[in-house]
Amino acid sequence: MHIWDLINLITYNLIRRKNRVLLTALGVVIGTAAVILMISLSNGLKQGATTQFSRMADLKRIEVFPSYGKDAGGGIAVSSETNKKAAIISPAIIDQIKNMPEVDAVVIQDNLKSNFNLQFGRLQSFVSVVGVNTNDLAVYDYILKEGDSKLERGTAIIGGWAAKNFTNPNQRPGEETPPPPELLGQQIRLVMTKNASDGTEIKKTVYLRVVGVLVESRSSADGSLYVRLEDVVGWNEWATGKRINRSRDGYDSLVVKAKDVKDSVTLADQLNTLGLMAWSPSSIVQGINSFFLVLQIFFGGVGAISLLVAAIGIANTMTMSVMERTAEIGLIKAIGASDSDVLSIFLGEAAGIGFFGGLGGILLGWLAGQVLNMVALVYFLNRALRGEGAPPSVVVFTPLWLPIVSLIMATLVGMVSGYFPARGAMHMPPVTALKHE
Amino acid sequence: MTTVQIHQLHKTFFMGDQSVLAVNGVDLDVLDGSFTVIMGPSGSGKSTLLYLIGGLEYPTSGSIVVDGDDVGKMSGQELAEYRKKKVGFVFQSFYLLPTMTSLENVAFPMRFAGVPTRQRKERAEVLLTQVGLHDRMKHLPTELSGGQQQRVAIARALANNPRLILGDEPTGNLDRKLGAEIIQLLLKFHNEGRTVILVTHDPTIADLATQVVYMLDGLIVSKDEYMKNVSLVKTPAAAVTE
Repeated sequence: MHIWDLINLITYNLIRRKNRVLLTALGVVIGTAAVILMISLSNGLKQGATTQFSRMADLKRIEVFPSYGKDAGGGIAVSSETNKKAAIISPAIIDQIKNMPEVDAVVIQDNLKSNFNLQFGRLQSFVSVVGVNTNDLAVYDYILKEGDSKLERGTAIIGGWAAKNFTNPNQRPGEETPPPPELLGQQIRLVMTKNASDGTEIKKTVYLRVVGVLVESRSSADGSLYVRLEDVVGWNEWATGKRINRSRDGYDSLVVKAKDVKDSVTLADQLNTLGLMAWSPSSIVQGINSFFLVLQIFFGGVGAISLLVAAIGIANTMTMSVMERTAEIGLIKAIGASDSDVLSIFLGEAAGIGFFGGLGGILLGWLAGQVLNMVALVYFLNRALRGEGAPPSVVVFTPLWLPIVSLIMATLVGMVSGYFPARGAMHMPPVTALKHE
Repeated sequence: MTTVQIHQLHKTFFMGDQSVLAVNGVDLDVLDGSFTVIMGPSGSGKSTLLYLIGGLEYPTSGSIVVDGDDVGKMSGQELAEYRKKKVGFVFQSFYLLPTMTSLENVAFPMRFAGVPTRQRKERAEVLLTQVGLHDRMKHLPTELSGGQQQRVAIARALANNPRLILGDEPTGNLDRKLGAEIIQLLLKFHNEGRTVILVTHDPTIADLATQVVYMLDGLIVSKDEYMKNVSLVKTPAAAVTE
């Protein structure tokens, strides 16, 4: 039999039993719709979560710290390696990192280690002073609230939280808290202190011009004051009274930028194997992804259960169909249908129920997703208008592969369910089948 | 020249742990272009013999050679091919597909033979005209009388132009007049050169045959022996008066 004749006959057989076929296919429709909706929902939630997170952190950025061997204290437990060798951020290792093919840029960071106080007029704020060896903070991808990202000696860029939190230490009870100062273009004072060998306190005051203020980003930048590395190095040498040997002591930290987001996790792993402690926000995204993968499998599984029930429905319908059409099977064998023709017809009918049910399910699942999206958008918009919560985004996202895979799956479910009834029809002896009334 | 050569044919059925010898050593030659009638009471094995000739069942032993090929030794695929190309069946219960029109029913076997749609339709129209149903082509079986349904079934049997037409009591469900019309129709196709083998217990049909075979208990017997036994079986009242 020609394939078109076969398809034509299968379609004919399905149409002449359309009521039962529709009822059976309804099971597949619901099952497929459940799979589509569930996976699209977890997919949409995942996208929402990762985009929200990407807004907070630059996924290309890797923060690198020295490590002090496996027994070293310190809060950053990011490495999976337990027996880690101690490593410092030496100039040699920096060169090595710079030469890695995935690396776009490397910024050296050193913190101010003396006691200090940041003052603006009568106000004070608490910051950590970070020296960076770059003349443009744009490499960090922080968002500027005002000013410029260009940094030169004697200037500073201040984090959003630190800029807002200048307070008067001598404020009397009942006195009104002063409003956050306008810092852009203004001079701030960095007052450092150290103790001389005789115990007397020595002060050093540095004036810095604020050239930029960052937007609050809920990251470590919020409480930082960025200055040029050379400045911090000078102040640290003043505080300790000796020159720093970089080959022995290394730098405090590095910011390594990957050329591509997808490289950042492997790059961080590579840096970890060098003995350093490297951490990338991308690893959190990876975590989010694997969490949502579990969610997808779970949600998909819920959908798959309804598809399983549908499969039992198809098996039942096909078994009934074979029983009712016993005489017909005998006849089509008598007029020359081969065993494989009979198998193809019945298997094709079962697959057809799965296929058309799958088509319906894709449509239903997609429509339900669009309705959910609409509801979610209205909800998010309302919240955004009241100034709360995240900006609007979709909660259901159907990737292109999902309907294709679902359709194939629904058709396969039909075929598998119909296999045993179809095989029964194939093996039916024609004479027995004809005598069956 | 013979079309069908049957030698020492046996067919045993198993019903539970009992075996039934339906065909018990039949030797028979059916001549090409003959109109052969197999007579026998119910359970004589005549239908089983017909199904064995038609390749619907495998024999237990013996051979059925049709056009030089032993039907009993064919594979399932070869047997399907044989039924498709060389045999046309006509059954007592017609077995028309109830949702298909006369035309579709007649065209149906040609699907399995890979005939293109258009040719299928054309040939089905010709055949339905030949059986006198040119005005009933778009009718469903339920809209036709029993005689008309059997005509459609005969047209369907001829769809793939077989040499051999096998009828399993084709008049069994019809009254005498309609039955006679069906036999006339089969005779017409016989006269066109086809070999017809009919199974029946209607003696009036036997009068029209070129060859009559009598069967009792799975064996071919002489006419006299058959008559004696059949009258014993059929009319107990007559047997008492004898």
